[in-house]
Amino acid sequence: MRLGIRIAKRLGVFAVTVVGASLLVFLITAALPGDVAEAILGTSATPETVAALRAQLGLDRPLPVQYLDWVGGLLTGNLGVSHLSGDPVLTLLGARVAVTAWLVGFAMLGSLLIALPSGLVAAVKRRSWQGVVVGAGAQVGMAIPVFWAGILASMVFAVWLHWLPANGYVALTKSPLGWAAHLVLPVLTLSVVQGAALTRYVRSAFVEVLNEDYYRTARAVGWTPARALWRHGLRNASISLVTVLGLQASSVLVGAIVVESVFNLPGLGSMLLTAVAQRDLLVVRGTVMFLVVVVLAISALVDFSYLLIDPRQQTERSTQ
Amino acid sequence: MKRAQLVIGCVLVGLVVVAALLSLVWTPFDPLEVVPGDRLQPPGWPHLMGTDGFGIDVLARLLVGAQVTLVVGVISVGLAALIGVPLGLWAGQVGGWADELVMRTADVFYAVPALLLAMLFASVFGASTFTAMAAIGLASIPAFARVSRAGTRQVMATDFVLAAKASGTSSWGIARRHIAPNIAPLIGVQASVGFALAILAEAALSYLGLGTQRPTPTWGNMLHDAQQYIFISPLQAVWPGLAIAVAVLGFNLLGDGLRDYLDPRLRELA
Repeated sequence: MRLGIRIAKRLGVFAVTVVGASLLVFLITAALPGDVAEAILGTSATPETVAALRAQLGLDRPLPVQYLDWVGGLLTGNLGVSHLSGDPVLTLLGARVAVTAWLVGFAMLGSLLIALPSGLVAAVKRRSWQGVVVGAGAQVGMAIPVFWAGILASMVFAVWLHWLPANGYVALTKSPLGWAAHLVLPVLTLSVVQGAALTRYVRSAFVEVLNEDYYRTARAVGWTPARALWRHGLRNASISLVTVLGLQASSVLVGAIVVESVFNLPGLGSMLLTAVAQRDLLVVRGTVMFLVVVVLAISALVDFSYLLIDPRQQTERSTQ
Repeated sequence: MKRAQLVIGCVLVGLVVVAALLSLVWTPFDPLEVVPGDRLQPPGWPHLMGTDGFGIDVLARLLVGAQVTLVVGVISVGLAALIGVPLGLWAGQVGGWADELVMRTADVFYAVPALLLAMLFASVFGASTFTAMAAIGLASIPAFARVSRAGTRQVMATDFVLAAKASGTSSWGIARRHIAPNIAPLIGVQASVGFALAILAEAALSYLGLGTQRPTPTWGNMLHDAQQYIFISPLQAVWPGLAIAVAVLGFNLLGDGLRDYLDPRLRELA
């Protein structure tokens, strides 16, 4: 019963945030003083052609009408139409989304595989050299821009060792082996950089557990550290970790967009960059809105799982 | 040990600041003049870090690149703090609907990261240093709002605020005399960490062509240009990345060190 109310509340927050985000995206692309039609056509355009393009883009209508029209389209799955190619944004997205989804999914998994063990070591050995090494490694990893990591990775593994292709993409259906080979370096790059940031969260989640009374009691009655951590640590730490994974959703997505550009992967990132360069405003607006909704949906899902993992959350008042 | 963080952070940040200041008065070569005969020189004398695909001295461009990094960082972090801190303070002090409004708005901005904001701006206005700063600044507001709101709520729960309220001090007086001095250290830490994030964001944007445009050198666009020469001149793609890493590491260490220095209770956890 209580749980139902909290889920409904969270859904309400999700809806409000999506509306807010749509307003933000819309206002930036429609209400700011820049004239997109003029920008697209260049300085040599006549006022008539500019007016015609403005009408084609729907820019000559009042803002509230434009906004409602756009949102109405979003609700029915119409994200807009590219004014250059005439293709619906949804079609363009469909052709590109798989690459980005693979990259994001594997990188999330990869960063966990890196961060869980290293964060655990850093927490348990926090007073000895192992902890210091992991901590320093995480600091350095966080300072490395993801695109530089990608360039270095392709320098080492593609240019010098010739183990993997430096860039490009092959569809899974065409050649599973080629697909995997082209994804290894981008996924590795993104996993390492994300994993570095995640390690710090894993470490503090476990340090918190190690300071708890239940852990001390378990140790006092003779449990080994490994058993105490397995039985008590993982469950309690997982609560904060799930939250962090949700918070990371947007940074992984941003990282993926950048990494796509480093390795020339035909995903949403490269599509967005091309659209920005061509001033294909409706494609940019539609794709950005799609990505924003994905981020918001992930963070809502994370909150739901948080309610399910932690029974205390089902009775306590909302903790901000 | 923890003092070491603060010291190393200060030294690294100092390096970047010195590079930027130095480049205002002196660079080893002209950072903009194309010298076709000097293309892709390896590191040595007189080009300590070699030359790029236009025959321009890499060290000279690296030094000038520090300017863009710092200017974008200062302006975007300043913008975010100027908007975010008062909002967070207001939300934390008033609570209720104000709190709800500010925090939900922060959620909205959180969901639209700097990169996507920059793409929106660039598709309307065309990419420039200005659109990059605006995007990074706007995207950094929620962090400042959240930190100052959390700090404000903590201060508001103390007895000295209760006493101030009981003796008839106005909300403005409480904000000025009690909240501001107590949350200032938190804001300082956030500013340092935020600066590191801003440097990373600026570098990514100019790498993607969404920030400062050529011929002005930035560490991001230098890396983009260097990428096509990784087969013949790989070191060119190392220097600018190192510079970014040094700057980000410096500000992160400074922020962490500052936090530990100011709040010894957090030493264990952070």
